[in-house]
Amino acid sequence: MDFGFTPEQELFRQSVREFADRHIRPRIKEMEEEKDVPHDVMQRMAEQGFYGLRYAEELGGQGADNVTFAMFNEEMARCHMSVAARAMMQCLMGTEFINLYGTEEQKRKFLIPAIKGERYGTMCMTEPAGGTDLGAMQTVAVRDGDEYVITGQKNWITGAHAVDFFTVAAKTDPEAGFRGVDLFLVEKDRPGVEVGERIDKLIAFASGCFDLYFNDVRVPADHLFGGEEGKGFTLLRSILNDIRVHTAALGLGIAQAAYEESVEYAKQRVAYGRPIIKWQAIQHKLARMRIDIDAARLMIYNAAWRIDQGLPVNIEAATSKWFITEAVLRIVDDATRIFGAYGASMDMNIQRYFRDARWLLYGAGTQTMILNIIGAEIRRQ
Amino acid sequence: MAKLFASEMANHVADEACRILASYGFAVEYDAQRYFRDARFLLLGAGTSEVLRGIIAHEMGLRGQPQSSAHRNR
Repeated sequence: MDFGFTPEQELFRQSVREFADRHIRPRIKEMEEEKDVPHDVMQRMAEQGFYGLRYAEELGGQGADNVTFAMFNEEMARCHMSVAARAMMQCLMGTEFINLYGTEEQKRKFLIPAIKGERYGTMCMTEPAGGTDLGAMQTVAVRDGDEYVITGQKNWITGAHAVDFFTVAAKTDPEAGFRGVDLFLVEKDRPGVEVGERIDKLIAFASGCFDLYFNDVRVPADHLFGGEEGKGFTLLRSILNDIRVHTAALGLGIAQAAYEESVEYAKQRVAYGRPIIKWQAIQHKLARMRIDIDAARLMIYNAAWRIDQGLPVNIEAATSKWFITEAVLRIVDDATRIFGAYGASMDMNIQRYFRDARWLLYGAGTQTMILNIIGAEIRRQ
Repeated sequence: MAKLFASEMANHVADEACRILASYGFAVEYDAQRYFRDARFLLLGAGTSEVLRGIIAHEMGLRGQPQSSAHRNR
């Protein structure tokens, strides 16, 4: 048994941290105020080859394992959750279905340019009627000759204003519940695609979530992923564990940042004659943060490693995501208490961690759904 | 104890409320996110929870340094 990262993985983590400190950190204030990630920041990440981390070398990618990709997500979120979320969308959910199920032509037209940062993609699942509850989806795709006609409304779509193509979930069989859902590749410049209002929200100010409308949008029949109707849920399930583990890694990054800054502040801040780190009430908070982070880190990287080894990981991916979510919320809560009134100051990073950590409550499944999934797996075993 | 309990309770309830509203729990057009943010004020005003626990312990006759000027005034 070996709990160590390889020298290459450690070196990669260091290079991502240095990249984030040099190119992302100086831009955070601007991005939080503008509530967007500028195109040149997205391009910087493309230049580093980050968008191809998970993809094969023959596509222009780096062929990195899931442990390495989890490190990327952790380090990016340690710096800025909004940028990390947009990067993860481009690296994983926005492009993976083309990688796994796209035609050669689709890979050439969308995936290879996405790896280079020439085109951007995002995933469209959530609707006003529901996100977690796939069966409640109202967007439909109707076959018409060699085409599908897609009609419906999506919301909470990350980066919809800045991308070039979407992976859209729509029902080919409206009567069939979640089994009637399929996934389609839809270019943004198709007639009938309309990006709506930006959603004003408390978390990840700069990630950019939008309403999105599909008004009788026609796509070629081969834009249906999986080759036949009724496979959407199966395709989706094939990357759910990856999404959970890497979303968990984002939470770990926020937790790590909040912990590090809390230790620094507690050493400097003096109350009742001594630095507050000398008070046990503060030490215990820091100790609890450290326990949460150490436990979460083992769980998350173990789950990532299990994916890389091809081992069963349904439970480990779900438990990692549930645990880091509760852990990071405890950590940012205690961090804001250590910072006192400064924890609420918009000039400090802590309030951003406090807000952004709540992303974990919904991204990759709500906590209650994750418990259902763990429970169902236990029952099945 | 009243202030300590009520402020922690308000934060717990606001947290749960946001979870029930799911992604709408952080949409600015809903009130839940405001309750969640504003409840944090209670953790700071009129003594932090840590200071209040110190005061309670002291009033219980447990030994220890009084940690706040609020306590010294009493």
